[in-house]
Amino acid sequence: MLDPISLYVHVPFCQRRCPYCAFYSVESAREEEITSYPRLLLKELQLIKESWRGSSIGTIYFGGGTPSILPPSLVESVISAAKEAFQFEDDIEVTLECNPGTVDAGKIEAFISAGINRLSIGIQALNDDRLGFLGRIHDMNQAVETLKIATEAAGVDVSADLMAGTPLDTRESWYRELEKLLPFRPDSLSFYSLTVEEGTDLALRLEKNEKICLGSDEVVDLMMYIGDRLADAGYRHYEVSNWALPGHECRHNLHYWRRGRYIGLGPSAHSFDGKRRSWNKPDVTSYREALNNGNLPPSEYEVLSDAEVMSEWVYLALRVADGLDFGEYQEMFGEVPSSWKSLLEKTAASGYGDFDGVRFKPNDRGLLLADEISARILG
Amino acid sequence: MKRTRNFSIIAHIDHGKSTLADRLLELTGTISAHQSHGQVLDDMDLEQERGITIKAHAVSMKYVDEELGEFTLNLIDTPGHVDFTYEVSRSLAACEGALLIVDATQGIQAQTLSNLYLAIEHDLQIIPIINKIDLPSAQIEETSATLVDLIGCDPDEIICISAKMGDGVPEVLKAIVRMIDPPSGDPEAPLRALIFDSIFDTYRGAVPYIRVFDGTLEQGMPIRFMSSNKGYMAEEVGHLSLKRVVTKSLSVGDVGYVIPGCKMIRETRVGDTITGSKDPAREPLPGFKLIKPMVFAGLYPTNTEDYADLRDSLEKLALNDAAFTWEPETSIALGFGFRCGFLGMLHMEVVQERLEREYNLDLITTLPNVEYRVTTESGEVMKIDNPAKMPLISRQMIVEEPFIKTEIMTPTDYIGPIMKLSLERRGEYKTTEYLDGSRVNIKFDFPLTEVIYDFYDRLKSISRGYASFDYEFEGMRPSNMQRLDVLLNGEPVDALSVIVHQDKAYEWGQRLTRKLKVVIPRQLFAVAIQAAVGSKVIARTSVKALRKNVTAKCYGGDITRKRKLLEKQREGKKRMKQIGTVEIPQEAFLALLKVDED
Repeated sequence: MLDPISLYVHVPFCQRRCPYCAFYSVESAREEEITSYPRLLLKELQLIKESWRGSSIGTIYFGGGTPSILPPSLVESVISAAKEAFQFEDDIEVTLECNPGTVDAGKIEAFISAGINRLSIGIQALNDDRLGFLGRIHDMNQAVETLKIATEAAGVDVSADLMAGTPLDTRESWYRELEKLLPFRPDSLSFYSLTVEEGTDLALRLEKNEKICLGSDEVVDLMMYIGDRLADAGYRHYEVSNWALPGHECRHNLHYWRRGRYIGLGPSAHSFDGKRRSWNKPDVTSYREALNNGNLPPSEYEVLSDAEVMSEWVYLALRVADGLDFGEYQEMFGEVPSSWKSLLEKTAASGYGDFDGVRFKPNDRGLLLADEISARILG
Repeated sequence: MKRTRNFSIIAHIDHGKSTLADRLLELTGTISAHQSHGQVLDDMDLEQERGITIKAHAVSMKYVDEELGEFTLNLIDTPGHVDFTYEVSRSLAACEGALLIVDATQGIQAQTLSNLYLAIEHDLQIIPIINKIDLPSAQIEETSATLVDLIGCDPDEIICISAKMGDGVPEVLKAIVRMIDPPSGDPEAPLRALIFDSIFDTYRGAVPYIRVFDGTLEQGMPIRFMSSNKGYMAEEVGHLSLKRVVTKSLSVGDVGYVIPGCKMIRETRVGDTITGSKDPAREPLPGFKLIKPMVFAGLYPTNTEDYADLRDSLEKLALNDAAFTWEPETSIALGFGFRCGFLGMLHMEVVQERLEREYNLDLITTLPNVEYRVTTESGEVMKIDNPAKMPLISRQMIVEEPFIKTEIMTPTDYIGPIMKLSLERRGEYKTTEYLDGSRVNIKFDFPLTEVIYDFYDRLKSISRGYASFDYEFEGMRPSNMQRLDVLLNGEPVDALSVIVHQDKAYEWGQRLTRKLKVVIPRQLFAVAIQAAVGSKVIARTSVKALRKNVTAKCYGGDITRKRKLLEKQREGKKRMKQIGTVEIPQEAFLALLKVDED
């Protein structure tokens, strides 16, 4: 029996694009365009399901874009189709990304009835100036309101996404935001540090010498401060940008980091079968056209070499608090390179984590250096 | 021989030597105008790009004078940089005359002057030429007055030209055949031919360029090089037009080439005399010197796998560069590499660039140094060309360093800053000569080590480009020199050691550590940087540990992108040298070259 797979569903529509976001999404699409979209997802699912026969699904994730823009009934139709095509694990996790300003109590209830059991809420900030800088469609009150509804609803885990590192961020502003956020006790939290991605509005503004991000050391100071507050509140830092109350980690994301297999539906969505990673082209028009003609949407793929598999495994392992285990490495790739031990000893001794000779577990500081450590040990 | 004229062109960089040469070649029909879009004498890419002539060449032209009839003109080019004074002197020795070109907008420069003195020493007839008279900023009268002062010529003898436009160039040709003496020599005496240059031909081996002074060199004749007394056969002889043109023989006054069938260019040394094996000359032509490298540096492959490639490339390079030396050495920090010797800094840069460009190698070059002579208590003499090999100096030991004699020519406005710079560099002031009301020639003796890094650049910058500089080796003098080590996280890095004067150790320590702090990137572990003489640390600083290097998001679609980013980072790290746990970018070694930039 194969391990369960994950299913990612991309919903490439937004009321308005955020200036920092590089994910594929179409701004202010017509309603008909949005409501007709899930039918395409179903067609794609029908076309690919054969090659994943015998798999069961452990997690589903509706990401975007703004998936909460979809009517709950259409979300339900996708979940049902997936259930028909594959087995569902009993403890399946079904997440929907949900943006304040696009939902009310009734819609959230309807999503839960449709089968959603985890809501990831794009709060981004609990401060109107920061929300303005980030170009969000909602204000602080809407964010608080959405958090309140979601955390009060029964039968759903709630996660909140926040963005750190705008030029407006200070320790004081974060103190106040965390004071507002933590009383809701979201089950898990993501704190991303703002980065300027190619092709975004922020990239253009940076070119014009606008100050977009805090300096790297300042961001580290903030992240360390946030990390301390979250630890005091009982959250565990389980991945570079993610914290959770014990037992509430996002299983869908952990699945990615453990190099599990996944199917992606929708334009720009990626699929991975352990060796081959493929991705639909990020263009909803050609996606629609192909599926309406009964064809698979245009896509590209890569087949990983053994060395690439190894390096992915290493850098993904170093991004999670469970870290890199020599025993697991040996099982998959053979002898652990001799230089790793002393390098990881020195890394641990420098205050970046714990190393007992067989497993290196990065701490808060070490997670912020995950890429540096992987580049060093991979040489 | 009466119908031959051998001459050189003396000029400062950019004063128009190559342009005039092109015009002469066109006017004599040696090349057509459209052929000479590039400058013919500079046929290495590098030379054209840098606007300097590194290797001397020669070319023959047929010239028909309206009154005097046909002549063979041999133009012998001279290298135009301070590192190559000896080669210049040998090229001049092959001539009877020289065209002295001075840019009307810039006046005479140090190197031109020292080459002019060399020409006068060799009794060459000087034809004074003022170039660039077409430019609005041309100062023809002032330049003319300087020339009259300098060489004692009649103002009417000076030819004013615009090599670019071609104005005045026919007069130059007329002057060459009228003013320059025909070569003299004894056709019946045993052969004596001067090697003024030597190039390397992949198929034929070393090809010495020669000027015959006595006797005749015939094809098939057994010959010998008088400095080494090694015998060869003149497989082929010929003239040098744009290409080699085979002839049966070369006789007195002729300029041409000989192919002796020797594989190493080193065996055909510039300045050496070729004679016949059967009836050898008693005395060689005067002036031969064995040229020795003055500046040394370690060359290491960035990737250790490239060691064998580097060795092969050095071998090939040495085939056609007699002044360049190399031998294997090992560095604890950099692994296996080579200690290479160069005539000077320009020569080093040229070699480095050729290795990187023509041979496609990624190199780390250590800070260059001069060669020291250390005499131990027991009287043992050691030559030190690598700072890492410098022993700790006790009171009973004597260290000697090479000194050079220099001439700095400058407008009087910059005397102050030049004096200051020279004294900072331990210069020993000799004299000041006024060339005219506004220009002086200042003579200094310098320790060579003080001028090899950035002296020339500094000189140019403090004089807004007007001062020029020339040097020659003077001798070894005792000095209080010491080895200064650099330690990273407490470990000495042998490739970063330098030899400095005792009075400058502190200053160097500060600068080296400061510089390294800038070029060593923040990394996983903090880096302590120290400079020490013996066990005494005289400067220290540190590079703080990196705190963040991670992308915030990494989900399904990001994994491929992220792996590619990581591959880039790993590529970047491969270009670093790992010394202990410290990663040093190869630029660090280069950056130290500019150690005086604040």
